[in-house]
Amino acid sequence: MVAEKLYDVWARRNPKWEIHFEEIIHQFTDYGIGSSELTTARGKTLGAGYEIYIYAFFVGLYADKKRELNGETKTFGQPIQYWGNLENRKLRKAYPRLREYIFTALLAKTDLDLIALEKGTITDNQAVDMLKDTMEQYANYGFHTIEEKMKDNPNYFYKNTGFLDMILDLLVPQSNSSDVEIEQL
Amino acid sequence: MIIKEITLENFRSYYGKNTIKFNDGLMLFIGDNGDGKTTFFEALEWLFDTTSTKHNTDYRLISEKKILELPEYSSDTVKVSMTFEHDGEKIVEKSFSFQKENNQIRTNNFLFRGWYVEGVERTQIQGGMLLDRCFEAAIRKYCLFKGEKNLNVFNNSDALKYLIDTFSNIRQFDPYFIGDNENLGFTEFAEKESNKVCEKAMKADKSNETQEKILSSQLTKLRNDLQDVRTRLRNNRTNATNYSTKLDDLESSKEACEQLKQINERLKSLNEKKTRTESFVNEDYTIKLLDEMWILCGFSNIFAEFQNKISGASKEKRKLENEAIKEKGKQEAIKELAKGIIPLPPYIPDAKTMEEMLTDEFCKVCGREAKKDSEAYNFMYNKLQDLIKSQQPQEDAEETPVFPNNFIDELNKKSNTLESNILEINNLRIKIKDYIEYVEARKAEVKKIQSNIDVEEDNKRKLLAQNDNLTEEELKNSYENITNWYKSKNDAEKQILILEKDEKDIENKLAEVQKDYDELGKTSTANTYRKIHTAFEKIQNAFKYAKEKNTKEFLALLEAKANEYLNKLNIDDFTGIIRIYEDKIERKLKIKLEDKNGTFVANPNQALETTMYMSVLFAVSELTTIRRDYDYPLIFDAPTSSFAPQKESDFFNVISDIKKQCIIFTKSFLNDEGKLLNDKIDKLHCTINRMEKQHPFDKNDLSTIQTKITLIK
Repeated sequence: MVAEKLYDVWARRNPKWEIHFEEIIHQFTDYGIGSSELTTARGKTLGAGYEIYIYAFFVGLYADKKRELNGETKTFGQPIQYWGNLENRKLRKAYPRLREYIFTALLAKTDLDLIALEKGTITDNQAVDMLKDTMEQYANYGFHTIEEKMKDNPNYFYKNTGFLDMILDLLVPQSNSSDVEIEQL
Repeated sequence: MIIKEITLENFRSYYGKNTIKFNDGLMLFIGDNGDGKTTFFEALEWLFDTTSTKHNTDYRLISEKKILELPEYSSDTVKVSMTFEHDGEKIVEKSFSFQKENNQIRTNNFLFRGWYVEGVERTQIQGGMLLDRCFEAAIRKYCLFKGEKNLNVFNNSDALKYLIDTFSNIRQFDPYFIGDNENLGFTEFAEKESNKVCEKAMKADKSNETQEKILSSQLTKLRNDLQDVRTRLRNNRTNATNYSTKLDDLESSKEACEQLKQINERLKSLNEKKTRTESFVNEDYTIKLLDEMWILCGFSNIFAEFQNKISGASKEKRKLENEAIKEKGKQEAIKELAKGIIPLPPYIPDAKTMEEMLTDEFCKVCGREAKKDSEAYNFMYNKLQDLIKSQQPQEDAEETPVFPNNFIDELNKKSNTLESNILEINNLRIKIKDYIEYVEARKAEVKKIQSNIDVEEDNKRKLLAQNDNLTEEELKNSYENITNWYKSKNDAEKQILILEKDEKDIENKLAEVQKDYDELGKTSTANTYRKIHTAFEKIQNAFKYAKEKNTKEFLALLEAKANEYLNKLNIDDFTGIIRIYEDKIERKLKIKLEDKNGTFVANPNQALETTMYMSVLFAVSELTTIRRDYDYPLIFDAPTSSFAPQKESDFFNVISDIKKQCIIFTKSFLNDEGKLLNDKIDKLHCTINRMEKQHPFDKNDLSTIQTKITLIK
């Protein structure tokens, strides 16, 4: 029997999120709207509900801050393996490769003993549980940050650059080697 | 009528009460764009309008500043009143009240009143009635003029005829001779009736019965033919006039037509450019975070972390694998080195022998005792086990691997695949920055294009406002229409020529038959009736010629007066000669400019054209004054826009010398900064008022605008 790939085991999972974020998810995505009604659900910034989840995950990832999930939780209808396929959405581009980058980020940021996994002392399912946990905690932090931002400025995310700015603000400024050289001179 | 005083109260930019005294002769109001000149002019138009009721209480006439200041549930008044001299002092006043309730403005209590003033006594009369009595609608048409284009009142069909009818003496002919087919004056009626009586008497005379029948049937036929030809002639003349009017409009708006075409072309190209540029503006940055994976803009370090972790694990795995291999090899080598001899194959001795020896606890190979659990016994036992094992199938012999899973290999492959995109990810921040800059630049470009579009739209509005005789559609289609219109006009004109010839022929024939008929009458008992009819016919013709002569004289006088003014208004410049003539085809009075050789000046410059029309207006005003004893003012809003500065000064000085109340609103005599050109103003000898916006004001807030009028000379 050929062993299943770790990525595939992970991609079949469905990460959880705190149920009270449903409001934010509703606000920015078509979450909860049937596919037949999509034509009327215009004016939402994003498409499927998981899109805001991906965004929240990256907010947590770039801030490198996790937050344990608390209280009641919920999951999306689609497991990770379908995220970014966007088959039915017009004027959008599919981004399946982003899933793979998320997976690599989880491996980088999860304290997972790869040797133990390789030896079989921990199972692939146990490893994937750990990855999913990291993912959920980063996204949870991201959701809380989005919520805070909206409290401060309800219109923040309705600017064209709102979502982008928040990501860019989290990044360490790129070093400019020529500036350094000038200073050294 | 001479205006003595005008008061504007809360009328648009005229906040509060503003009273301006007027004197005879020229009065100039100098103000820049938006300083309230046109508003003042429009206040007079509002006051002079005795017909319309729909704009009487338009809330847009109320001063915005007043509305803003008005406390809730308070009211105030919009009022325009004029005191004037016309057979004694009179006042006419239009007003309405307005209230502010719940921040809404309501208007009511519209009043249009007039008063006769005698000493301290005032007698009230309805305002419209007073105006119509002292300054009748026919004259008001020749009194208020907005801009240069509208001076051309005489291009309006029948304007000159109306003027002649109203102000020459020809109206006095109307009871006796009218000269159209539908209505009859007395002489025309008498001629017709006497003819009927004469013909009746002729028919009654039996002696010429046969001859009379032939001639009268010829007469009837000819008269019917004539009637028919004249009807067709009239129809063709109407057609020719209509097409000619349209072509005239087109002629006068040919430039406008060309301009409109150019503006529309520019607008089309600007709009296309705008759409094209807008298509480059995609500000769905949030979508791009996912679809273009911009969200990976900070991912480089994380991916490096992943790669380090995987390569570390891979290295560790290989190390552990090596160690395991080494360990196994080591143990086997030790085993072999320890014996120093080559062991026997496992099948010597055979299994049966081995079992027998174990049972006997005696080694029959070396002849020694081998008790159970002794080293020799165990050796034999292990040898037997090795033999049994060697006889089993091979796979049972495989060892358990150190790393049963191969996830690190999977992760390594993923790392290698994704690494091919890492350069792109590293450049994402620069790419995003460049993209945003690009979009902002396009947006700025769109904004610039839009402001150009706004300018063109504004030009178009101005152009259409100046050519309100033609719609945009007509202006646009004029090139296509022009051929058809010319053809139709030519056809009508050709028909007119043919019909005129027919008319003449029939008239001649009719005259001949009539002559024969008259001759027959001479010998008839109807001779007396015939003589009476001939007498009435002569009287009718006398009135007809007198009326025509009168008209010609009035026009000649008007033309002479107009040329006097034209010469005065165009000092040291080419003027040409104004001709007021009747268009033979259209039977319509027209004005044109000729040089002294009779050459038609087809396209006089705007200033010359303006002075031509103004000259006619002055002439009309002077003639009507002579005929009617009463003068009236001429009021112009910006009539000299096309004049060169020097010509303008001369023009105003000439007008100030004309004994006529003339009120002109102009932005002349202001420099580029809106300051008065005092040296030029000093040279003018007339009353001058300065109109300007009271400072300070907010350029974006209408409620801060208030016009102030100051007498400066």
